[in-house]
Amino acid sequence: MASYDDILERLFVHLRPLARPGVELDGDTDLVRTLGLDSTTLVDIILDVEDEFDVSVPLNALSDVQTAGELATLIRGLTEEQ
Amino acid sequence: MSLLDRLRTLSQDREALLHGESDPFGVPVEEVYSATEARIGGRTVVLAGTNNYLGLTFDPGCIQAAHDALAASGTGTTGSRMANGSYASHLELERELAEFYGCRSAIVFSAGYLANLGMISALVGPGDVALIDADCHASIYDGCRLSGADILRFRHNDPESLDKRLGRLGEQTARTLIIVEGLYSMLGDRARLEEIVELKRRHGCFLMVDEAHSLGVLGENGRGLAEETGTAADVDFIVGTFSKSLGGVGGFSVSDRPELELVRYSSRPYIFTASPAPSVVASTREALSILRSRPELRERLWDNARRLYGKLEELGYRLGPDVSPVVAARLDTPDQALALWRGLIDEGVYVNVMLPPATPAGQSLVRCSVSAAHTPEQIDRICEAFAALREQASSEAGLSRHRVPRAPEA
Ligand SMILES: Cc1ncc(COP(=O)(O)O)c(C=O)c1O
Repeated sequence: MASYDDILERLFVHLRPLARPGVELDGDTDLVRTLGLDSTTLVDIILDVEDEFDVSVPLNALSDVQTAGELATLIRGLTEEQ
Repeated sequence: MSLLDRLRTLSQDREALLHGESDPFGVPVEEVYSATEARIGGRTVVLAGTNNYLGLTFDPGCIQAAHDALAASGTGTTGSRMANGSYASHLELERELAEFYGCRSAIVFSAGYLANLGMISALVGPGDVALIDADCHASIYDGCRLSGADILRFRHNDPESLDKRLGRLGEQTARTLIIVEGLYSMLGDRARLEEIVELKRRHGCFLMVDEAHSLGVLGENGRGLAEETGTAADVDFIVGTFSKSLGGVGGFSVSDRPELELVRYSSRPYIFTASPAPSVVASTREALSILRSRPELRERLWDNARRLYGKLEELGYRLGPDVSPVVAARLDTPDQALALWRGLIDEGVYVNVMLPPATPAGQSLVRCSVSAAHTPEQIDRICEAFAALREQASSEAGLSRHRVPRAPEA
């Protein structure tokens, strides 16, 4: 079972290419405000993330996710359920 | 931040996109002359972005049927299908649709958009799963949201991606509805329905296909992709619209499942809106009858589609993966797409422009749809306009220098 930190690190691999140069990523990074992701880009990243963690992330659950850390927590919760 | 700031930011986004130039969204059509010609911006243009696949909007029989119904039954029903809005003609149209598809029953909704909302929200609910192709139309997304079901997406037209997600669902597959489109509206590619049906069977879930763009377009009898691929028996629910090949407005679902009739009692988008006007029902019935009796319209549509697709491909435009009546050129940026769109209008050709975030994978598209009503000369005019703008579009890097290999799904 991957830890929160592991998951977060692996999420950064997907998020880093989308961040403006110089933006440091951490758990508090706001996906929309800091990374400037629109909702369609975010759900497209979710497709990659789902394959990476072998987990399905319902779009409904994403409405509560604002930061990278919240996404990591969500994925950790979903992998535990499986 | 006050309430209306949300809307005001849209005006900034719009300004940034358009740089004060003409707006392709909601362009006023000053006068419509026929299924393929209108006046826009003071000049006559060929319409090549109307989804009017069979060109029936000016069919004399459809117009007469609408006139007669207008005189006989009035301008509107002023009520819901569940109250005073189910006229004999609505029931007749349902019977004719069911018969056309060889299904037990059909339900008529007030729009294609509402058919998706109404069907999905009635079929799935909290605790169920809606598993949808990532490129599905907004009405499918909205229907899923309204339903309260868990919404999962699979990669566009990728059965392996679908299989993985089904595998992860375990026993929940019995409470899962897969939703795909027959012909995808943006790029005109077909769903890989044989493989999807195979997965649906193996995992024991349900399948709904939105044939909005494939009714009257695909299949021996024009029923759509399920007919073309011989998978109709495995499609649990078909959804469609009257607003494209049938030249009206309204939507429907057909199914062999007896439960379809019960949708009427649990579908808010069916119950809480007025039913389609009698004149629209009448023209739609006539259009359906023409769709069935004049297969040559479908042949003409496909001749036109092949002609346009072939020519634009030859010109070096990057198109969708399949030849179809939806022919979309992919540009690299919104600015290029807007420039091409404006250039085409100046050349006397109206098409659609589609930009992110409304498009799959953030693409910028200039999208044509051809009609059976286009003459070969009109198709040539459209091609000439694209040819005239080729240099400009390519200098703005809108074209591939080499012929790109057929892209797998983005
Ligand atoms: C795939 C798809 N489904 C549903 C609709 C909605 O249909 P209507 O415009 O009749 O409401 C459309 C088109 O707008 C569509 O492209």
